Amino acid sequence: MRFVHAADIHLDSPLQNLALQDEGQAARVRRACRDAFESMVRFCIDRRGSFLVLAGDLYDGDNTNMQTAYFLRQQLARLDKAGIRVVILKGNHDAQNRITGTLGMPDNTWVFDDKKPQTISFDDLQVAFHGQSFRPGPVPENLAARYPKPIAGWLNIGVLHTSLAGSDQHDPYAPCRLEDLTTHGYAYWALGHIHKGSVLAKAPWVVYSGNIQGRDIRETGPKGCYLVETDGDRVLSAEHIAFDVIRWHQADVDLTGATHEEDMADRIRASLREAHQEAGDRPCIVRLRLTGQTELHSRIGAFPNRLRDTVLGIAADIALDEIWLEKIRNETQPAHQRAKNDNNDSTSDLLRIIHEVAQDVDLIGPALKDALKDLRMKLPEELKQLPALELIDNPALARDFLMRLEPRIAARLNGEDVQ
Amino acid sequence: MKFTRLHLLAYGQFTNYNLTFGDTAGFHVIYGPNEAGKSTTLHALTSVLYGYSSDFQDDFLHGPADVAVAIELLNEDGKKLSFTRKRRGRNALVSDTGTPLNDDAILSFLGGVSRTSFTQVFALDHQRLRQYAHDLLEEGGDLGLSLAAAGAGIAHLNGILEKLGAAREDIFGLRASKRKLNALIKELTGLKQLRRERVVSPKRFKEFQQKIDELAAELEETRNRQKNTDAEIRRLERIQRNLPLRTKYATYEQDLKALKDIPILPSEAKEIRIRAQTECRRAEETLRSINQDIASLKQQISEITVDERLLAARARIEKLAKWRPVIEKQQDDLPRREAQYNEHLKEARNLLKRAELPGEPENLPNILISDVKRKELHRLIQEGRSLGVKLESATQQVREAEDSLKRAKTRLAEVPELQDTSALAQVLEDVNRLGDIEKDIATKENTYIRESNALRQTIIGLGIPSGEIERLRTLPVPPTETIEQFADELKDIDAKSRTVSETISRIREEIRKTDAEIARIKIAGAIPSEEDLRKARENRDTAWGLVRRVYVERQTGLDEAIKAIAPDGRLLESYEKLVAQADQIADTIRRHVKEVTQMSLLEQEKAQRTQELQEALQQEKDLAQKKSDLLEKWKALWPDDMTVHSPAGMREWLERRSQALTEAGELEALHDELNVLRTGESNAVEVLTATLQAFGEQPEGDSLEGLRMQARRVLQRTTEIKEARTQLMAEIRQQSTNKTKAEGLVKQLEAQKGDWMGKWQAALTAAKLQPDLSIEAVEVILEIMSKLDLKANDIASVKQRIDAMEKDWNDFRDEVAKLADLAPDVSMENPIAACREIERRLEQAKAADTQRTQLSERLETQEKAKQEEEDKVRKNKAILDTLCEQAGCKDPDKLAEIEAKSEKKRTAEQQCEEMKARMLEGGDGLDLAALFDECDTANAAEISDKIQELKAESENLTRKSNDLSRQLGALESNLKTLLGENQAAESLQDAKNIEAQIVELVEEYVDLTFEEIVLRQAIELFRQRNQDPILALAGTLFSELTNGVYTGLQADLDDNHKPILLAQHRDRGSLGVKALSDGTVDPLYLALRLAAIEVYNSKHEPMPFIADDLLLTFDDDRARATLKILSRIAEKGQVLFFTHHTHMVDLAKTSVPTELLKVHILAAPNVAAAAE
Repeated sequence: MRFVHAADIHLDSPLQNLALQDEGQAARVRRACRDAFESMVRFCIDRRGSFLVLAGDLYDGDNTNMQTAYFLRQQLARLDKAGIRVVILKGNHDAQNRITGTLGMPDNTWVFDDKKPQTISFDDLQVAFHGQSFRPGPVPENLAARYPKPIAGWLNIGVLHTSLAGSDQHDPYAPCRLEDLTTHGYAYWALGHIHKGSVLAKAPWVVYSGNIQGRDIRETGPKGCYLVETDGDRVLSAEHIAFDVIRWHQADVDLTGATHEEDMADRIRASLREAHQEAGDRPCIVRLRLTGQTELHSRIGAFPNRLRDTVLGIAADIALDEIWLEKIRNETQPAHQRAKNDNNDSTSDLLRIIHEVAQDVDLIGPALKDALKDLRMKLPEELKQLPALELIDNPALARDFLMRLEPRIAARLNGEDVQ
Repeated sequence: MKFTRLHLLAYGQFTNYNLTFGDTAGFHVIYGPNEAGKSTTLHALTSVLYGYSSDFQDDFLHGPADVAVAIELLNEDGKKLSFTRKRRGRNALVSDTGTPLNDDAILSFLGGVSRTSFTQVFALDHQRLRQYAHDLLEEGGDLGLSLAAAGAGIAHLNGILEKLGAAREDIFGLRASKRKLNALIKELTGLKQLRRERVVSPKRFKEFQQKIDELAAELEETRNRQKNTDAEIRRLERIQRNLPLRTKYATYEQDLKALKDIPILPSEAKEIRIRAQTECRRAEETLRSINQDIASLKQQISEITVDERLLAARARIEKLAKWRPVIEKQQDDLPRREAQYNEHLKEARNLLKRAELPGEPENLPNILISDVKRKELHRLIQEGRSLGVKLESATQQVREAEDSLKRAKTRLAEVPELQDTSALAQVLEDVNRLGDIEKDIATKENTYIRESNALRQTIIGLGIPSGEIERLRTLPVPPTETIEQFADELKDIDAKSRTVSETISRIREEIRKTDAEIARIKIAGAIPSEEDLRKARENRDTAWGLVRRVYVERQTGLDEAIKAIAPDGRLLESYEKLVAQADQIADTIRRHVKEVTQMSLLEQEKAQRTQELQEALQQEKDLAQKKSDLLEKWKALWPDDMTVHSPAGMREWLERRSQALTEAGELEALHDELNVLRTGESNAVEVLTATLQAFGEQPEGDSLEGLRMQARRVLQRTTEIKEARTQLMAEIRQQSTNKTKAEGLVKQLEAQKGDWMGKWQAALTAAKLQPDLSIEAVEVILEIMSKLDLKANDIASVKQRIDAMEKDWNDFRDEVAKLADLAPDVSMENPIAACREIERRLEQAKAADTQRTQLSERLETQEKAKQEEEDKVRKNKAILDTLCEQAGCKDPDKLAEIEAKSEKKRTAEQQCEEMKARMLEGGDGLDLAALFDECDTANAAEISDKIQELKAESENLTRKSNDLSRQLGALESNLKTLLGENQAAESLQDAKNIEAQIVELVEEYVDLTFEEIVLRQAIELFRQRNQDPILALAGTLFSELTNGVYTGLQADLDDNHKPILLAQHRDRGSLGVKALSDGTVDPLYLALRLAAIEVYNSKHEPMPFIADDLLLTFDDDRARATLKILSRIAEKGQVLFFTHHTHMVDLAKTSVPTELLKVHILAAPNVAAAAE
């Protein structure tokens, strides 16, 4: 027998921070989550899985759109038609969301109770799923501790939405220790909540499936589910299968020692090529991070648009329209620091005075506030606190700004056309 | 810091080239003509200090790896640094000891001055000076920008700020909807709205679902009612349908009872019976007819007779019958052929006679000559004829040559003897070399006269009435420089006058406006002025003083004074009146305090303007005086008798004078040329006359052209005689040769003719012809023989034909005779007639035989037919017997009646079955008994009305249920569509995309804003710090550079409280930068720049200043002033002054103190520097 374990579907959750201006790319992104889920359902049918286990967070908590629930029901109906049973555990996002309950589920679908632990058992296959859905609000207690005892001789699968203990980046939800799980007597723990897929233990198996489609640059790499092969009451293997239709990738390019733009282009090309290969036949959204000490530091800082055009050109060369650029982060350092000059009252170098100005909060603060207040006023409420606008309230950030923009200012003063 | 040595090891066109500046002298003039490597040296300086730039272009002689420059630096503390820079990534810097250096070591020596500062602040050329000055003008005197631009050496500061502002505006504007960011924000708002509209909330979904459930319930109920109604309709319709069937069924049941004993015959029995009876009758009739035919045929056959013997010989007879027409035709043709034969013989005989040949025509083959012999005779005939023609032609040639020779000898005797003309030809050639000298002389004489007159007019036009060139040449005139100086001064005065005149107009306009404003306020109401109040109070106080003196102090003798205040002597009343008057004025002023203040200000302003106007008018007058004085001095420069114009006019006059002097020089040259030409002409006439006379010709006149023509004619004549003699001698030689050749040919041909005659006679003999026959006779004989050849063929052919016919006839006759025993009664005398008769008899026999055969075949057919008809009769009778047996009768004639009854019984049975079947078919599953019962108990009269009633009800229900169903379907479809779409999520994703774009633009906008603000603040800070030291120093330098026309520079605030730069003019006061002429802005910028450098050098390690052809556009005075200022900089620091003008070198020598100056000459590459 085999079953599929997935979690954190977050249906219809948008992909973040993508300033896509190409309609073709925008169109592919619009359906990314749904396409990934459909692929997974097709996979269950093709591979004749007996079950699909969804370990929480089918939707975003704030998604009140019945269209999403309807889509899910359609997909579950496909599985029903193919004789595949579905076991769903509601995660923290689902708990506060009413859209699933409102629509109702097909006959092949079982949802865990949220009041107490429950065993959903299937006599024909001698399989038992144990679990407890999340109720609305925080769940600070260890739910797993009260899960039922395994049924002897059967295949026992624990389904749990948890942050485990010590998982960062996520709030603590149904915390427990790995040891609580490995000693419970189940053959497989299907976990949800953490978006990065990983196998935590193999005896017994404790697995986070991760989400099925990365939604921002923090969710890089392959995304999908685990295909679990069993024999009687034992689990034989768990294999990760990728279903993401668009792959996020952070490309770090070390430019240490690079002296010519061709050199930089070569290194970027190599990195993008690697990203493209890793992504396979799906488009790949890349954040390019340039690091290292290089003589090109100031050129990169002075001509961001030129760099962007160069990178886009390289991307198009490698795979036309299959490598998209999310952002370029210039974190390079100058090749060698010039000797500090103590002539602060120098009359010859306007840049030095610019440094002084950037450090004088009283001088620059009001001017910046005045120059940017209209912009902040005009922006929608949720964008009024963008990091870039923090400068208004915290003029001390001017030093960071200058550090980043100094090459560009220097190039301007040098008479170069930086746009 | 100073450069003490620059060593171009391998750079540009230089190899191992040294420039030694030394430790002391500070002012280095580096002179190099174009292409000497001046720019290369400058590049090398920057490169060795800061590294080779990536766009390095100076490696055309040396490969990039070989490029190397060394330098030695000396700082204020006396420390030295010497190193070499190579063009490579690692260890590019090497000290003199060979150890690697890092860039920071040099930078600290340079006092931290960056490459940009070094090239932008401490180096300047005239192009950049012009550009920066232009920018200064563009910036409109913004002090911060001006100081920063000059002090930091950054051009286009204003342009940078404007670009930043424009880039920001391109992204965002508070009230601009089309800017990128504004447009995106609008789009985002739209998308959010769209998403809200598209989302299907659980509540909305439940509302939908509830409506759907209600509709579904109502629909089901309606459908049930309709089902019941339709069932009743169906029942009633069934009864209605079955009632007639039920009635018919009862009738047929009755019939069946009556026909109970009648057997049911097969349905086809009647048909079988009728067919059998008909076929039986028809067969019997046919039998009768056949029997009659058989008897008749037998009779006919017995009556026919046939000759069997003739039929047996049929093949032979038919063969003869085919041959017979051929024989008949030959017999007709034979006489004609025989006549033809005789005719041919006769013609042959005649031909033999014409050729005088012996023998008979029958023997022609023996008489005729063979083809070989005839061919030989033809060849000899041709050869003989040819020889004859050739011999005649050769004889004719001999005669013609003799005649021509005789004629040529006669003509030669008539031609005159030859003379030698070489001397004459030589002289003529010499003379010809002179060309058309007479025309040249005439043309040049005309030009000389015309141009002399024109020049004279020009000189008169230049103010010399005598028109003499000498007077013009010696006229005392001032030098060009003086004129230029006057022109400049006049221009300056005019410019100032214009400015003053504009100022006067402006002030007058302002006064006019002020007056108008005062008038306007006055018209609004007579308002006393402050002055009025002051006067009233003064009067009041005077009166009070008087009152006091009269009434308190009791003074006397004040009558005059009292009268002045109160003419009527009533001092107290007058005082009270004055107090009231002063108070009233004060009150009025208080009431109209605003107007009064304004009035007061306006009057002050007017007074001030009036004062300004007076000053301006005085300035105008001064300028007019100055101009008049200047013009006086100007006139004094020129000779008294000349009309003196403006400097521009006189500049033009000088140019015209110079042109006139040039023209005079050209005229003198033309005159000399004319004299040379005339001498040449007279010499030529003399020589040509002498030569013609020596040749024996009398010269015709003394014109050079006439003599030339005569000489040419003499030479032409001699040439013609020579040509005639040569031609005749050649003719005589040619004709003698021709004659000899023709005589030889005649002899040769006669010998050939003898040979031919021998062969001819032999050939005739061989052909058995007379040997003395002529060519023509033999030709006739040969022609006749050709005709005889044809005739012989004709004779042979006809003879052969006649023989063949005779043989055929004999054969035919024999064959016919062989048939005689088949027709003994026929005569064989004429075989053709006999053959015809036998043929006819054979045809008769063949016809009879054919007829007999045909009759026998017909007889056989009839016999067969008879047999068949007899079979038919038997078969049909058997069928009728069987039918009788089935019907239970013996006589076939009774069969018809029994068949009819049987048919009726069968129909009744079938109808009963059909009625039952039809009732069951429409019986909706009920059995027959139920159906019969249903019909038997129904009330037929009411059924129809009841059905109509129920149908109407059913239609109503159908309509209702359709309606409900449609509503339900639409609702479900709507819900499904709503749910099935993904537009809400897509709008959300689109909104996220737009948000991301907004974030990017906001970041860019903030960056640009940040850049603009820090730059503006920095410029302002720069101004605050540098304004005092730089501005004061720059003012002094500016004054020096303008020879004191400007006295200094000053900072001020403009209307927007922005600091601006003003230049102090000696006479015109403070002027904004925009009011300065182009020529003044250059030194202004230079003053700012040099001041910035001086201030820098006074506080830091002094940096060298590099001037690259900086003074190109400056006049000598200004250049000297600049050089002096640079000398001051060179005292502390170092100045490298690059130039490619020797003039600049000279100026430097006179302006820069000797102890500071060192001149370097950039020589050709690879030569050590030569220092002066």
